[in-house]
Amino acid sequence: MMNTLLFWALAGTAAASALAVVVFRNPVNGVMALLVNLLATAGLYLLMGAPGIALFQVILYVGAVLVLFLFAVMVLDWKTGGPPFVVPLKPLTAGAAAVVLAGGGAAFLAGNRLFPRTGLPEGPPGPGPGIREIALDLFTRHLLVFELASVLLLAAAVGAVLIVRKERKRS
Amino acid sequence: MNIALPEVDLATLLPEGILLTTAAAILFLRGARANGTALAAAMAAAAVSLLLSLFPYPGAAGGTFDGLVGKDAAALLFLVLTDLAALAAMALSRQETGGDENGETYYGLVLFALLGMHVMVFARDLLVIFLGMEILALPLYVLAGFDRGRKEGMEGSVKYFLLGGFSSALFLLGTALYYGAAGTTGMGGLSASPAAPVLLAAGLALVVAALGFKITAVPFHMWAPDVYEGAPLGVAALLSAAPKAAAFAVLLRIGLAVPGAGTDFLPWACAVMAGASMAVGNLAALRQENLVRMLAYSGVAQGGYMLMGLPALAGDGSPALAFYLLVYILMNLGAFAVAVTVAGGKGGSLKIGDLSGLASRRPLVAFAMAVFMVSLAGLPPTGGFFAKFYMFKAALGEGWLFLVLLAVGMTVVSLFYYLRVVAVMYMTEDKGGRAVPAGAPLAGGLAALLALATLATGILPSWIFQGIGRVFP
Repeated sequence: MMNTLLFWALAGTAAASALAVVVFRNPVNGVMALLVNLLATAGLYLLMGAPGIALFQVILYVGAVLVLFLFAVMVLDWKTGGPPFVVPLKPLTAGAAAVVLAGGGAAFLAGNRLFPRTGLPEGPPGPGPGIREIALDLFTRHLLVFELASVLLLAAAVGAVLIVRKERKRS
Repeated sequence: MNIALPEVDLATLLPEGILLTTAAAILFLRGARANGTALAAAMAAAAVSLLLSLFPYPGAAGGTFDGLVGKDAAALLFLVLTDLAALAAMALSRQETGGDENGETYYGLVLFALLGMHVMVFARDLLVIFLGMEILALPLYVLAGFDRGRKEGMEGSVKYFLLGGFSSALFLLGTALYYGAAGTTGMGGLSASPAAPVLLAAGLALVVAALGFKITAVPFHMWAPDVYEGAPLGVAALLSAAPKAAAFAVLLRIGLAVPGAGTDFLPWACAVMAGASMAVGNLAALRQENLVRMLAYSGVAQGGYMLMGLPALAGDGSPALAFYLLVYILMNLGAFAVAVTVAGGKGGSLKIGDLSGLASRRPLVAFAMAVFMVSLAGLPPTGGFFAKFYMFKAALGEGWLFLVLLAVGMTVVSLFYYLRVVAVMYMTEDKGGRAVPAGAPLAGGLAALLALATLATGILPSWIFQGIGRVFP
């Protein structure tokens, strides 16, 4: 009962804040709405028994990505003024149509049993892997992936430095 | 505390270690002669990596990191191909980077990209392949816009970045769906009969689409002409050949897995992409006045011919594909080498008309270009003819008659624009007054070498083809 209440509260918050991201005129407000949305989704993950994913969601998206968004938005020097909300009718209609279409498609596929559920466990999932299991997996089975990610970051850092370099010709 | 550490055999990854170390070391170079030093170091690293792939460490085939990666004979062959392409592309870059203060970083980024391609080629897991694709793509986004004096460079770079990011997202989503269907991101999941074939098919379709971006297969080719035109010629040459080799290695790995429910659509998907690429690439190349844009569309078409090998994997498709790739790398990088020698600082804005009268001004360069064009068109006695011959034979052997008919028709179309270049070089008068560009010795030498190699593949095709055939069991 408590779980159901929590679920609907979080799901409602997530949906409302997602809408708010689109309709706020001031982009800073939009980013803040996105923050609420991500936190609500993290709460949903917790409810589903996946604290690890919820943790990563908060650390990565709220902690890193959103801060980056805020920086970008503030650097861009937006003109303020006009009504605080804009209601983009066309995109909203298109979005609603997409949802209906996707839902219909999913229902169709489910009805046709094209996605047999034999491989999935019955009932609600138990407690998912904890931080310890994730860490063990990361440093044993996915050791190479972990190391390659550091190579990727190095290449990205070099590229970023090169992009912002000063334009000077060696003559 | 019981932790099962993976068995790690770093000797397998020695070439990649050399590439990474050299790439990192190049970033520390400073001073007036840094550019030349960086070029020499980067080419040496790529050459050592090439040699180590030709004469591999014996334990490499078994794989390491619990089978996440492994260098079997096919992987080694594709490693050689990517190294070849990168070596040639670096030799073409001397002119482009000479005047730039950060010119040496250019070669570091090329080595990073080469490392990414290596990872793509020898990985046996979609997650590792994804990381390889990203290590390949990020340096190339920067390299595509390296020449910041040109507006087209930045435009192409941004376009490439956006579409590349899109394709990465497709690949990740495909990997997620694949994981959902197969319960693993490893390629081994393909051989087991999947619990959810539709999910597996959707995942593989997205993965193949993302790889289609890398091989500029229609309908994922839109970025290529703009990016090639704006990028330094050396980068355009690299882009046109090396990522194709890496992506085809991945496609072969997917395609060679045991077919079953959820993967049976792949031959048809590849055949459709092949047909569309041949048609669109060849017809669009007809209308190009810019040499680099023409080569870009020609690359789209050539990618289409290579894709024909994938539906014919049960037959001789894989050796035909590898042979085609080898010849393509030789002749296409050769064409770019000629472009570099005659561009004289024009970069990607070189027009086909700029080649007029080249035969009288620089007969050897014109002859090399003629060899490359004839080979790209698929006429004997060059390697291009035998590449198409083996490919068509393999496709016919598996019953893809309509695809071969389309390919032959499109080859006839391609004669018009390839031979037009030859006609412009030999049959038009030099209008005079244009300064003959100071030669680029490295690029000129490379053009000569590649022209000889292109002819050699046309003279000894069966010997090379059988050598390649031994790689594929």
